[in-house]
Amino acid sequence: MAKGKALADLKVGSSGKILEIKDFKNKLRLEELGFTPSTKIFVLHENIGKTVYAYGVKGTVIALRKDDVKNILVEEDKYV
Amino acid sequence: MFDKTVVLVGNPNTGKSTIFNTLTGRHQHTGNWSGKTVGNSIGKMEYKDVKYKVIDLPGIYSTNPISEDEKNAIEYLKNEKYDIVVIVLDATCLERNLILALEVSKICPNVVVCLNLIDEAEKKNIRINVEKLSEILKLPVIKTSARKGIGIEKLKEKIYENNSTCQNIDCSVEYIYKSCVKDSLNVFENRDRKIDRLLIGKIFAIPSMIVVFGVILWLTIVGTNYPSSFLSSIFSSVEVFLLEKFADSNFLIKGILIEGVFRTLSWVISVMLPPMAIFFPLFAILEDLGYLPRLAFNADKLFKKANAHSKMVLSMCMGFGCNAVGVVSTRIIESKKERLIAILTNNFVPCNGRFAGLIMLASIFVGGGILRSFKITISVILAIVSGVIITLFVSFIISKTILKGEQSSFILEMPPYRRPNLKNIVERSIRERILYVLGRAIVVAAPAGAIIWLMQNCYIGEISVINYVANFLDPFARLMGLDGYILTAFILGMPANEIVLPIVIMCYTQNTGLIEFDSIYQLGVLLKENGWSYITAICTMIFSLNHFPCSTALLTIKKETNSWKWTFLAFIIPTLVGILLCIFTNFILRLF
Ligand SMILES: Nc1nc2c(ncn2[C@@H]2O[C@H](COP(=O)(O)OP(=O)(O)OP(=O)(O)O)[C@@H](O)[C@H]2O)c(=O)[nH]1
Ligand SMILES: [Mg+2]
Repeated sequence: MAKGKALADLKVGSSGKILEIKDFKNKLRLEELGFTPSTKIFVLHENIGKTVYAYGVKGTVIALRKDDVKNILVEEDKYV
Repeated sequence: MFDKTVVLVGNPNTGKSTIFNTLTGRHQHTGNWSGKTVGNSIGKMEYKDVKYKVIDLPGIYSTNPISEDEKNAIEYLKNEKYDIVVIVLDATCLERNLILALEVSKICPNVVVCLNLIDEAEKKNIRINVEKLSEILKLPVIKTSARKGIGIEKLKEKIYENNSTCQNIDCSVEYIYKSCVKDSLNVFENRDRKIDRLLIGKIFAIPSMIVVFGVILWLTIVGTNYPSSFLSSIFSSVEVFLLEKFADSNFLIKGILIEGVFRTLSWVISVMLPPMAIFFPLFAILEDLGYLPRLAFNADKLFKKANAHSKMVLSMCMGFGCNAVGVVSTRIIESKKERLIAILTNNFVPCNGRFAGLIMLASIFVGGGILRSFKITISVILAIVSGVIITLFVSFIISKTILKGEQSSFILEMPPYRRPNLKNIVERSIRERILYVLGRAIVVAAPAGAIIWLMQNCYIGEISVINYVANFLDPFARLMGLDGYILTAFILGMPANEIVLPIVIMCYTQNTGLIEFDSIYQLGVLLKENGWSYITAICTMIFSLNHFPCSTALLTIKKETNSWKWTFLAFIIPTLVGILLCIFTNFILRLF
């Protein structure tokens, strides 16, 4: 399996597939929101100051703090 | 009284309250963001021979709550008795919604699945095989479009005939989704993303925020003039007529009823009601569009720096309508500490009643010219921005002193942009602003008018009670750039902020006699005759923005925090801020 990249490192406009969520206090909530392994994830927007990002997951748009998405590992899609 | 109980559950913002309203005919608030409903509400529905009690719950993501509103809903689901559960799903993001559906159908018997927002799903080219879904879930599934009332009769029918048992479904959400749904969504290039690039993108976020609020305020300011002049000219001619007719009657009718009650009512209705009634629906349009969570997204960095939770932006927005509502809506903030910060600072956002006063004062004191309405708009925006800055500043200080602790994380759903439900907004504005303000005018302003008249006409020695009180407060009020009457009005206006300015006017008309008021200009003349300068206006605006919450808001804070200590702090913090700022501003402005 390809080594995961932290979701926090993906740029706006890129996408990927979730590999795993590391143990941290919001792990359960993120899973309930659809952040489960093998889910496609899209980095849609960043705010002023780059503290939160808007992610597209399972047809919804969810904003998360950059500090939290360090705990989500993804495999980034490569476009040729 | 009721034969059966139906409870509505589902993810936030899936249309539960909208369905609740169509089922019961109630007027529960709806809005396009997650966390609009924070408490349970009850309605009744009759279908065929059965009387149902219908319960609308706050939205939940799972049965593991992390905030107060979710706790509320989940405790109800787990502990209360009910007969039928309607799970409301958002057809545009079924995959996420199914997670909760499976969880709930495990613990609850008699589930009906309601696939709402089907109109939006169709627009987005999402096709759902309902028969298949129903077969896999082993539950009845109904397509609805609650806003248009489509599918509601069928939903009632299914509620009526329902008798399913608890379902333990082994399939994964992914499997169910893949077998029932076909979508062809382009995630990066759809309408919502294009709008978002304008409204929350790095370059346009702040300009668009200014434009959005500027337009709303400008419309309110320009729109207020005409109805205000119209109403007051009617009221003053009625007053003249009444005074002539009852010229010889006793003090009870001529004094208390006409000069006291009627005059106060007419000021409240003609001066305060128009801006309230115009701003409210405009703001509701923003809420229905789905703009409010975007404000939280834009402002996150600022709130993070101030150690506050950016979901506080949402409770602040609700505070624009009414601070008591703002305080209740802080339930969506997960951490106790950040929720308390939001409660203690909510009052720095001007509620509808105070807001109307700010607009009136700005309209009176901001200079003329063709750009007048723009200048007024800018001064009101400055007032709001200063409220936000104070909020951030006070939050920071509170978080460093009385409420230390970790900063919690931030998870916020960004709803799709939706077309505002104009009919609903107009109806709601009439019901909740016009009728509500008229009702409050009768309950609060009328007695206040009678009291003011009595205070003006009862004497302690040589001076009337009102002058006695005002003289007593005057030295301190002068220090703050106000006068004794203004400070008295703020204190007497404690039950409702919209009566503060009318009380001030009442005090002044007593000294100068009745004025023939048919435009905002004459109101300005009255104030200036009574010693107002632009400094008085600025200081009054500052104190209006920063003083103790009204009695309703304070009671709500007591209820929400369950503590006198926090209630007292919520009272004293804004008051101290207001006093200090007024003294400071007065001092500085007098130097020039
Ligand atoms: N187009 C469309 N919009 C809908 C429909 N049902 C609800 N809405 C809109 O969706 C938004 C959310 O509706 P609410 O009824 O407040 O949702 P809720 O599930 O009660 O939300 P919370 O109280 O936050 O959990 C509102 O703006 C509604 O007008 C529908 O069938 N079609
Ligand atoms: Mg609701």
